[in-house]
Amino acid sequence: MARWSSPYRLLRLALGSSASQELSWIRQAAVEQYPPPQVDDAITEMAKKRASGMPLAYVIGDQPFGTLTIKCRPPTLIPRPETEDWVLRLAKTVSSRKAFSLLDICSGTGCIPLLLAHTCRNTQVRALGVDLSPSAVELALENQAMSLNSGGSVSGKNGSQINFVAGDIFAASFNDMVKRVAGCSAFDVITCNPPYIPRTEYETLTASVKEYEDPAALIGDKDGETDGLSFFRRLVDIVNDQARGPILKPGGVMVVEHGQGQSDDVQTILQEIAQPKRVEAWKDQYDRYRTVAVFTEE
Amino acid sequence: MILAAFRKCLATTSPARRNFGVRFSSVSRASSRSHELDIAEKLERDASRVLNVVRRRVEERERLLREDGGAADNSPEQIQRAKTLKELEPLHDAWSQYAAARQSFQDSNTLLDDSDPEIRSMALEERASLAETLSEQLNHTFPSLLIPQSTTRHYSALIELKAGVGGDEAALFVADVLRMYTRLASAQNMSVETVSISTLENRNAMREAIIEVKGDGAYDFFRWESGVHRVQRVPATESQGRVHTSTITVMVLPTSDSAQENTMDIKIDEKDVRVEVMRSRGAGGQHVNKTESAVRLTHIPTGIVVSMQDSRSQHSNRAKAWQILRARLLDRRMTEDMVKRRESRRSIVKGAERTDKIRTYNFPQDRVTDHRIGMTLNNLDAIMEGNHLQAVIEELQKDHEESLIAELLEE
Repeated sequence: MARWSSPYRLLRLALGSSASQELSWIRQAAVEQYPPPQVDDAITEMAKKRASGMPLAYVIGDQPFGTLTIKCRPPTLIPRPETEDWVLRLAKTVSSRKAFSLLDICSGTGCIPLLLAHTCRNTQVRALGVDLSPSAVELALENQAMSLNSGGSVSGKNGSQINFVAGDIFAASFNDMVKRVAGCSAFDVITCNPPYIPRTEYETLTASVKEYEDPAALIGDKDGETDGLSFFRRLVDIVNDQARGPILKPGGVMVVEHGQGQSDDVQTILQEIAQPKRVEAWKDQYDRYRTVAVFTEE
Repeated sequence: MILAAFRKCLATTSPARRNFGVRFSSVSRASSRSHELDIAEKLERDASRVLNVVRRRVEERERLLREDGGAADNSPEQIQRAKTLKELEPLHDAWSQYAAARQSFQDSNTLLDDSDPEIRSMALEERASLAETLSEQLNHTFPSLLIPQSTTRHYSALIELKAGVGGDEAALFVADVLRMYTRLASAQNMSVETVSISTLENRNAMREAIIEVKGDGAYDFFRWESGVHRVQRVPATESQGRVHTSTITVMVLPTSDSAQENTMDIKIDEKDVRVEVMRSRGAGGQHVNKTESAVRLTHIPTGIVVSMQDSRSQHSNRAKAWQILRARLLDRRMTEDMVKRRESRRSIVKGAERTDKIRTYNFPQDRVTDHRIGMTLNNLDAIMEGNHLQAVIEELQKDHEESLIAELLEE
């Protein structure tokens, strides 16, 4: 192989100083995924993709998330470290329960319910993840199968069950559909990492986000709104829709992730939830407000 | 082995400290009885310090057996009492055996005056054999039973290797020593896990490597590797056949799974640690999908910094960084304890400075020398590729035990 096109050189030109670190990760993945005769070619192919701008998680095909490895495929959103941070924090508050039911909305790769169930190893977790995109649901089911095979607590050893289904949070029938599929009338925990980027901000993002990840998973503007907060408003409607019983159990907790600078607005929006409650704002590991947690009273 | 150590001790210690080494000399039949009677007494006089400590421990055990305080079965006092009694069992057994042999020796006195020459001859033989037993117990069995069990015996080992002086050649040697340690660990039935490896462009050369050797006794086995290792050889890249000298630094730290019980746990106050994660550009969250997993922990009170960026998983890097920080703090506390002991009563146990040159690997002369015990082995290739270094490690361990014994007898 001519030196000028060596994987290292390609990456160095594209990435600068992080080239050698990313090359070693690519090399590790190639060795894990391919038989020895194909490893060198695989490294070259992966380096080319990475050098052209594809995010590393898509190049390698997975992303570590807590103690799990989550399979990734474009255009489904790649799990972020900020999400990992609040999911682990949430796990600490619920892991002492013997059992809980979980609804994860906009579940993407399914990383949130899978990591929660895996971390709460002594808890029976019954979870349903919902996403608008059928391809995301398919990927989430693959991740579910993978965590079963790796023998984690998502293996049903403690009776945990996780399912994924396609659905539209903005559909009028959302609550009914979810309850029917999950087989329960209300949930102990609702999590949501909804699209929260205003369209105007979206336009300013780097190519690695814009060109590879699903805009529908990122842009939070609906029906002419421009602040990126449409999904949070819809969540409040869903939780307040008690026509056929509440969807969040009294005493249940809802946790939502939001974008930089949105904490105050999201707290204001969630204050509209009718149930008596306490609202907490959580910071992420980068010292930014990243999550709002609503603890309802029993 | 003990004899060699005692001779060394004799050479290096003051006359006042010499009295626990004894050479047994055989007695001829023509010697007077009073001389023969002296043998056991002489043995005991020379090993008086050992005997005093043994007697004290045996009395302690008897006292514990007498006072069955009536405390509840599961109380901490009862548990401690049971534990101490169990620990004193082997010493008690050895003492009983010693007392029996001593009594037999005493009893055989009368047979020396017997009219039957055959009986006299048998008595002499038996006394010779008994004296040997007594000597063995006084000089070997008792001392080794008196050494307290290692407080670190349950720990696994976190081994950090760093290339020192010598550039690429040092980095190549890091990889060689890493391989040797991996083989040593396997031979001891210990598992090896890579924590972090930082290679140069040539992947056989490592700037730094951290491995965890898991298993009870892993730390105790590898701890003598801490220090500077010097290698003298012709580098692969050297065209003129000149011998270069390079160094690598090895640091062995105690570590454990949180599930295990340990006698010296480290509790770190989270407020004392600054956690820095690679700052993501822009707004973070959904806005950014760059893989930035590097974590740096700074322990503010001690200034210890641990960086970890090997894994794509921030979570995994953080966990490993905490493990290493805990191990470094534990190592630091153990070193401080040892320094304090040394200052307060002239301890004989050797300390190890990070910068001590402990071993030289000389390839042209095909030998490796450990400078602490002055031991040299040949056939360097076999040593690097196998587990022959174990012989050196065992000698270092024995040397350490002998220092502990000597120190114990100073009490």
